[in-house]
Formats: sequence, C-alpha cells, structure tokens
Amino acid sequence: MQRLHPPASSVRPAAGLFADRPGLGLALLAMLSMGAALYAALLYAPTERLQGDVQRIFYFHVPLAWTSYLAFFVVFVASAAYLAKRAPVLDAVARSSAEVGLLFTTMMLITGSLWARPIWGTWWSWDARLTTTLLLWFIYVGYLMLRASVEDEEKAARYAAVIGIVGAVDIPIIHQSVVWWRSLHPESVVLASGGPAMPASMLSALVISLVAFTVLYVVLVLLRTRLELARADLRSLRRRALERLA
Amino acid sequence: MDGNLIFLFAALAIVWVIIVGYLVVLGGRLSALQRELDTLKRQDTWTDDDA
Repeated sequence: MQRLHPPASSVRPAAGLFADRPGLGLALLAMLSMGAALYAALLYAPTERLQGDVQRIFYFHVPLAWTSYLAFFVVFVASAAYLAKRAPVLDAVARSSAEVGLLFTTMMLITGSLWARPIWGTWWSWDARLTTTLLLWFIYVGYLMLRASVEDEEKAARYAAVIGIVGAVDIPIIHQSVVWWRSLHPESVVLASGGPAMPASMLSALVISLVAFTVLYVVLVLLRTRLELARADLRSLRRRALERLA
Repeated sequence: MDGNLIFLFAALAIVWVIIVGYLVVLGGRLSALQRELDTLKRQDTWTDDDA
C-alpha cells in the first residue's frame, strides 16, 4: 500500500538536541570555551587598580553586548532574505536569533546594572546608551510578542521580518551613542583609535570571553532553529492528518 | 577582601542561571514536541493502511 504522507516517525525533534555529531561537538566546544572564559575572567585577568574585582564583570558584560548585536544583525539579514525568498528556514533562523539575542540583551542589562551600582552609585541611569539599549530590548520583546499573537504563520513571519529589519537600525545608534551624546558609559576601549586602551592580559581575557559567548550564541541558535523547524514539520503533519480525517 | 565582590558573583550567578534556565525551557519545548509526535504516531491516519 502506498504511503501518501510522510510518517510521523520521519520527524525527529530529538535529533535537535546534541544528538548528532556536529551538534554534540559544538555543545562540547561551547562548554569548554565557557570554562576558559570563566578562568580568564576570574583568575587570568589582572585586578583593575581603581575598581577592584568588580571590574571583572566587564569580561561578561562586553561579550554579551557583542553577541546581542550579532544576534540582531543575523535577525536583520535573515529577515531581509526571508522577504526576498520566502524560505521558512530563513524565518526560523530570524526567530531563533531574536529569541537568543533577547536573552543575551537581558543578561547584558542585568550585568551592566550590577556593575553600575558599586561604580556609578546607581543601578540605572537614563543616559543615551542605556536608554537606546533598553529600547532595543523592547523592540525584540515586541517582535516575539507579535510572533506569538498572530495565528497565520506566513503573515506573522512577514510582519516580524519588517520589525527585524527596522529594529536593527538601533544597533549603530547604540554603538555611537557614547560619541553623539553625553553618557556615563566610557567610549570604546577596545576599538579606540590608536589601538585597544588596555593591557594585553586584559585584552586576551576579553578575546577568550568574546569567542566563548559567540560559540554559545551559535550553539543556542542552531538548537533553537532545529526545534523551530521540527515544530513546523509537526504542524504540517497535524494539518495533513486533519485533512485526511475531514 | 573586595567589598564589591558580591556584585561580581551575583552577575556570574545570574548569567549562568539564565543560560541553564533557557536550556531547560528548550528541553521542555522538545518534550512537548516529542509528546505530540508520539500522539501522531499512534494515529493511523498517516498512511493508507487504514483505507
């Protein structure tokens, strides 16, 4: 007898969670690099003379900021590509990257606040960089709320893609905010004109942490994208099952 | 001992709790998908075997 529809067993979401060799390899790499980042931040990097040990938050806060920008840049690229090609995988990548980016932005805001309290004497300040970063956070909360509230998947993907493209405009504004407006935030010490304004040991600890958080971002997005694609397959199977029952 | 050390450890703890929490949430979503898949597997409507 002929099988008209793919069997449910052909959809294997379990394969999405580190079950295959590349996935497992990436997960191990993420764990190792995060361990190295912890070592570099807490033990290898020298103690900053003025701020003391609390300055070590820098080795998490800055990489979280970098990976957040990366995540939303990926949302921008995948969203633009989705509007051009309408390939569901591009939408899945955009959605996954937005979710992971929002997670990283949340951690960036929290670590920033915990660093600001002992150094600036306040948990929060409405200065340009913090305000534009909070705006970025709200943009992608809105993005995910839209995804959750519009039932028509194709329509939700299209609307979200527009937000994903427009939202990315905030990234260069955040980056330049310390130059354009008065801010409690210092100007970039890594991308300073004339080279990084920090000792080599601090810079290497930062680079190790940057690599670790970037690997973690890649792993989480891959994982989330696979889950999203498996969910789409299941939706399709469920729809076909209902059609056959009707 | 640096009196501000508590802020450093709070930041570290929150970062790790959020990352591990997110992995747990993803695992939960996977379990939900797997349950739905098992339900679909039990239905014979996928094939013409029923026909």
